Amino acid sequence: MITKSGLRVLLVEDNPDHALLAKNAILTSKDRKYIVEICGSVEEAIEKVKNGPINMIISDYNLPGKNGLEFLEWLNEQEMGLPFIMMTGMGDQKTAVKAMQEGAYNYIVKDDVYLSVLPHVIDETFIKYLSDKEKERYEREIREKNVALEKANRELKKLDQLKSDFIASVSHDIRTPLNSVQESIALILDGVVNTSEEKGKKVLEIAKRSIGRLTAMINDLLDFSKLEAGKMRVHIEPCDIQILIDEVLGSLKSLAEKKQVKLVFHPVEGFPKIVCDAERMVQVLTNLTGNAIKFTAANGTVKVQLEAAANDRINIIVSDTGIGIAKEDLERIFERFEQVKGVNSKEHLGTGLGLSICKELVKLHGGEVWAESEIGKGSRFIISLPFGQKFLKENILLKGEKVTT
Amino acid sequence: MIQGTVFVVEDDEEFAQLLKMRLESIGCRVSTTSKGDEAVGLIQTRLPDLVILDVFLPDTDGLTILKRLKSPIDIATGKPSLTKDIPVVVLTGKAPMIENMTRIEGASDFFVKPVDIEKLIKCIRQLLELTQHEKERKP
Repeated sequence: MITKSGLRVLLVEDNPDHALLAKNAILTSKDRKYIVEICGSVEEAIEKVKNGPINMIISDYNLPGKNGLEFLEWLNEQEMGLPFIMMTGMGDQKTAVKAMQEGAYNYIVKDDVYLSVLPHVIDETFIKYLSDKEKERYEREIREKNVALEKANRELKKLDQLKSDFIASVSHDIRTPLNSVQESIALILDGVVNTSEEKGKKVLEIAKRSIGRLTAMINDLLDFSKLEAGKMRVHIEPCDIQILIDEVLGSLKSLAEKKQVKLVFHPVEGFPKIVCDAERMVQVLTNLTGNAIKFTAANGTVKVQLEAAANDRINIIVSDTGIGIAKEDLERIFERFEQVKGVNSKEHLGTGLGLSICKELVKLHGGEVWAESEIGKGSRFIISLPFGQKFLKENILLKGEKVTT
Repeated sequence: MIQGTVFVVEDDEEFAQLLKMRLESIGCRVSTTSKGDEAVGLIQTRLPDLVILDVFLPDTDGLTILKRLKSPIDIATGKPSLTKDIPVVVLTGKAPMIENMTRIEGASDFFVKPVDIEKLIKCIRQLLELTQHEKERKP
């Protein structure tokens, strides 16, 4: 509260003559412009401090009523941090020391020459006060920055931990099919089973399925690292989304039959073509539909629907009648390194990267994907894609992709 | 050929099938389960000569099963454990720290996936022979 017009100094002095002399002395300062107000008692001074902006207090010790030290005490209680100078009589250095201990900024002994020293003492005190304030501000800033740094550090550590856990978990998950491939081949080579017999064929099938699982996991990891490095490219062209959906459902038919889950898709006549990377869109839809089948019990239904949405967008909706997803997990499931454990995680084989890959791939198409769910009733995964080719090209160019038109 | 009954607790059903074929080829009788919560009960009633246990089952952690099997007193009934002397061989896909943990809990041996099947079979043979030997020594 340092005003432009001048620094307001409150002088507490009961002797009017001394007060006037002191005031005049202060006004001789060449460093700063001061406005000096005089009070005859602590009680009066307290009122002044309460009412107006005061930048500094200079107070005599011996006053009628409360003394200077009591005034300092009161000021300390207010926690205003005002600079305080104690004036003491000759030979009363004890009081001066006491005042300094109590937090006074400075003191002055009323000797023969004190009036000539007074303006310098006041200037000096102000400089000290201002530098203290500055220091305090810097310290506060440093503290705040440290807190922010620490927070960022904690978050990084958390992410790092997630990554480590994830790597540990994926390397475990990858060993499982690898183990089966190795043992299948060993059983055949060691002549334990014969491939021309039923048992041997079963072993070969296990090997084939395990290799399929390994391939899927490795593809996920490759896609994921490409996306992380920003090196994933999409090749967009007009596609008939209904043909793509058909293809996806065809490839998942055997899984659905095995789980006795009904797959439903009603094509819409004359549905417009959309611009997308057909291969990647099939990947996204396979992932979402595959998940839906995995988390749906026998006699349940998995449905794929198309609908036109506002702002030149279309929605592809994959819904199921499965176990559902807890509300708090709806966003988390799309996060990197987050594997939401299913009720039966045995059916949830894979890297757990699938949904985060889907999210990034849809983003590259200028779209969005999200989930809605009700526990026990089922989930809906919605992919919202823009139609417009122009928008898409712009969007992809913005991402630094080399698109030649 | 060696005689002996082996109980396999393994959530990866495909690997369990493969392991069963392998163990049967050396003369063992094999039963399997993929459910950790059933494992202890089944082992208590069947009392096999050897248990092969995957410590990363989805429902019950394999280490908990190992603890239950090896504890001198059955937690559920308070009676002396029938299973504490059955050798348990642990399989896992995970890090070496598990090795120490499983040894402390009383596993006989430990294999990281992908399992070196020759070593595993050798280990199983030795353990089963030892059990056989002890059975013969007892009246």
